[in-house]
Amino acid sequence: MTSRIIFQNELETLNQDVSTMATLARESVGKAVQCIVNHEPELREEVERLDKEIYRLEQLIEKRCLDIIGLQTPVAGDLRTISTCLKIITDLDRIGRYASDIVEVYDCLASSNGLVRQVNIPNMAELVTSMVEDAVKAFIERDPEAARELFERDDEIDRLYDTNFRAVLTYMMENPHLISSGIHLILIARYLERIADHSCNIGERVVYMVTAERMNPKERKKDHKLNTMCEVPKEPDGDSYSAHELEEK
Amino acid sequence: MPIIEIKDLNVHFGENHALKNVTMSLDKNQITAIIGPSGCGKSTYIRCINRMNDLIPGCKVEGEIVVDGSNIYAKDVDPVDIRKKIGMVFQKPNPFPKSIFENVAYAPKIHGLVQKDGKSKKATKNELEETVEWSLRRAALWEEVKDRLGKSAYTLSGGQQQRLCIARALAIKPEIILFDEPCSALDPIATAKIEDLLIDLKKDYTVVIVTHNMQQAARVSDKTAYFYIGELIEYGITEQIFEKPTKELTEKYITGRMG
Ligand SMILES: Nc1ncnc2c1ncn2[C@@H]1O[C@H](COP(=O)(O)OP(=O)(O)O)[C@@H](O)[C@H]1O
Ligand SMILES: [Mg+2]
Repeated sequence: MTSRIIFQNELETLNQDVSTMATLARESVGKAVQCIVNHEPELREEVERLDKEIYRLEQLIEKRCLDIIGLQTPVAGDLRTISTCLKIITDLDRIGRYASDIVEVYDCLASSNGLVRQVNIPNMAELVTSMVEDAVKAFIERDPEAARELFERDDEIDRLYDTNFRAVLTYMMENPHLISSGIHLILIARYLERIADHSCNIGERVVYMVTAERMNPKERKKDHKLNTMCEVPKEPDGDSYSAHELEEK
Repeated sequence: MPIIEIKDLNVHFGENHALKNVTMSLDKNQITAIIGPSGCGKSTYIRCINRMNDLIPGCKVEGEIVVDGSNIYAKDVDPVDIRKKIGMVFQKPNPFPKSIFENVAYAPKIHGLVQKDGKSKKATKNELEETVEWSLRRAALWEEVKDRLGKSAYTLSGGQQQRLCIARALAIKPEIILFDEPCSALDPIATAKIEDLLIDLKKDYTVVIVTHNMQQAARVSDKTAYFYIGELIEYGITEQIFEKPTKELTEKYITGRMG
């Protein structure tokens, strides 16, 4: 016999809302990429609309989570699920924002349509879209293995970002007319790279939600060199924040 | 460091096998919470630790409970001596129909006071007064009752009565204090006071508490044991039990999906 029917229903609604929000975030990235790669400017409005809807859902879900914590005092798997929802809605919202940032940059790119293809943005975009898709799937299916795999692809994204950065820089040096669109392309690459990071965050939370284990910093740490041609301040020690410290308190 | 070691404890009430092969050890100066659905054997378990079950006709206790290195169920042990070492506080405050002072002075008057050498001697009037004040202070009740020690214990509120019972348990200078749902008859404020007190007491005592309030177990205890129909299902660090229990039954119970 089960009890706490109301509580169970609330958890189910929460799960559905987060799944919906995740699906919308995935959709917005897909549409944004399609917009810039295939030159379909009419998708811009669609991405903006999705962004608004994602934001609305974020607020709604946050309220649901707080109500459940306040009224139902969840523990164990339930508490981990709620803390995961609270965290990943921020990631999903950021993903939606980056998608709309990407289409916003589209205008500035229109004049230099060729460049997008030459610098391998489509490749990067495809990989990032698949990451968002799999992060969302890992959450919906409660699959920690799929979540962990995201981190490997994130390393690949970082490498692609470096390569693209260098390629765009080269084009800009050769042809100053491309500087403006080149910079916008770098921005797009950067947004895509950020989206990949947020997908990994979601993956990390899914691992915690399902297994109660926090990912080891080494496991989630990527080769974070970024671009060798620009001065990137050295990252603070990768181990400086982590579950290990939490446990050693 | 374990202060209580329980080995293969079995309890029967006639046909009813109320505790089944329970083996666990409890750490000194820690709070151990016992949780589980009604009738799972929590009270039976806690009553074994001070041999209160001996008083129940038809109750058969088998196994060993080693406290401070000696088996309290050994033949030559006098249960009265055990209850001097192990105090108990019950669900409903149960003060004696006497004055506040007499409630706390009751046990030291009967048993005498434990001296440094471990032997008891009859308490002088002065020593009794000291013990009563000390116990009431330790139970965080002194300030509220110091001007009316001669009044009946029944003039106190429920929460105060429960702290009086704690003071009464402390007056025998026990090492271990057992609490069987000490807050279930109290309001939230009185409950919070008892919880603060429990945490304060663990510096000097080992505490075992049966509670129906999961959040209370999570708040006050270091370790939690989950019982189900007489069996110890899971026992471990409280934080871990409430974040990631290893047994499905435990998770079902603490998340409220049982019963
Ligand atoms: N004095 C008693 N006489 C007979 N059976 C008892 C007695 N006390 C408890 N029991 C039985 O032992 C089992 C455990 O009871 P108890 O320890 O009181 O459970 P809990 O405290 O977890 O609610 C129950 O089946 C109960 O009926
Ligand atoms: Mg009971």
